[in-house]
Amino acid sequence: MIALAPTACTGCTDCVKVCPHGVLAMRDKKAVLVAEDRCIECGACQLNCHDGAIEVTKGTGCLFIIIKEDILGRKPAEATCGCG
Amino acid sequence: MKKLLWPAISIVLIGVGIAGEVGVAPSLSAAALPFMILGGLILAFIALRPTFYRSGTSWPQTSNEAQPLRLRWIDYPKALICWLAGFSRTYVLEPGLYYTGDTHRPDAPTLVTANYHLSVFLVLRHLRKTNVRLLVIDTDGINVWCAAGKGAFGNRAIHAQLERYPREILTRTTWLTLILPKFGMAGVDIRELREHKIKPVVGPLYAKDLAGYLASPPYRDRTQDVVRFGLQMRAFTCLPGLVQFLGYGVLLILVLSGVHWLFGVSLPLGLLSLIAIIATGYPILFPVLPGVRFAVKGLSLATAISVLLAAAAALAWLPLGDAITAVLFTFATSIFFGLSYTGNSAVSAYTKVRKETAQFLVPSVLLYLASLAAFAVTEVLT
Repeated sequence: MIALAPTACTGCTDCVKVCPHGVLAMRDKKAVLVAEDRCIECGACQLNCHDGAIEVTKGTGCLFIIIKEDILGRKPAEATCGCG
Repeated sequence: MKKLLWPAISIVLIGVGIAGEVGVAPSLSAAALPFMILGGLILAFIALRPTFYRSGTSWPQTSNEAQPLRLRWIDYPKALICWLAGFSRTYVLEPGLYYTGDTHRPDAPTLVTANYHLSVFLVLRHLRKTNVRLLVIDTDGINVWCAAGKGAFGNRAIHAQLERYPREILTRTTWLTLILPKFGMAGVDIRELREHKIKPVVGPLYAKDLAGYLASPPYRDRTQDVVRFGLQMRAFTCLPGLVQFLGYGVLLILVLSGVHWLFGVSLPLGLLSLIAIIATGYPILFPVLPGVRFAVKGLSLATAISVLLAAAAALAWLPLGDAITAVLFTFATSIFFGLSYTGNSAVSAYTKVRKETAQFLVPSVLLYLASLAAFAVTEVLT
């Protein structure tokens, strides 16, 4: 899930630059959601929004990670996601 | 001396094999071929030995100068093994600053990448004739996309490498320009980099676009780049998925081989063909399979295969019991493959996959159990 608070946006454009799916675009010097359904919740926009205008349910969309972390409750080392 | 032991053993084995083969040592002629094969296998293992990398490994960081880097012939089989091993951490590269070409030029464009062999290989392969510098950061041997998702490809790892080098090696100007892979931006805070006199540029998503991008400075952010999950990218994920699932199939057959040996039941080798059809068909047909969710697409593929299995049973090409087992196994595998394909694609969202997993994982396991039961009943009745 991604949510954008337009009033908090200062129009720095960083979120638009880093989104790999073209979910955000600039309109009238503000970021807007233009393709919400394409969002994969990677969290790049949220990390690069220093105005707190973007909120994302960040996570890894991968079955094996979900089994490991959410179902089995394992907390792997920071980088270990089970694949290369 | 210790390093030379196994190469020496392999060379001796090959030498003995050749001696037996050409008649120098007739008593060894029968064993010539096995000797040569064994020697060759030992040599291949030495050359391609996987690193079996573990998280948290400390690198010696022996040099604070940029190191030359170019593709060697051995990198090609290593890249192939990385790919076939499902993008696992088979080979890693020591983090640090590298350069292509004959000499180090601090004004050459600097690309940032992960210390995963296949990541570096793909970048170098597309930049054969370009002078660039590669800042290879320590991501625990994980690729850019996955490492960024877990925070390993990020500011901390970038700073850790930059701090190793004197500023005059890094740049001749006040600002250091770093070209970052767009796939890694989930872990990189670009504003924080700017605070350290680093000019971050969001580079292309795909390595194949790098040469064209670098050919036309000044380097601008690739805002327009979006993920294209096209046929080429899906085909790239096809073979690793096939290897992974055939591996599961072979394990199942091995277990059933024990049962076969103990009780004389038949070996359902046809299941391997079903796995191969699903693991190949799913990625290739992905956009045209009905359904939005990954598991639903798996259901669609299973339905199409099951229609063919039912037709084969109706025409008496396939016994009914075997057909029922195959249909149940097809549904179980196709749903599970669909769920697992979420990790291979760059188009799956966490909350959606979590919901799908909750809805489809248990039915998939139950279908596997049902297919096993159908197999057992068929064996008892026949």
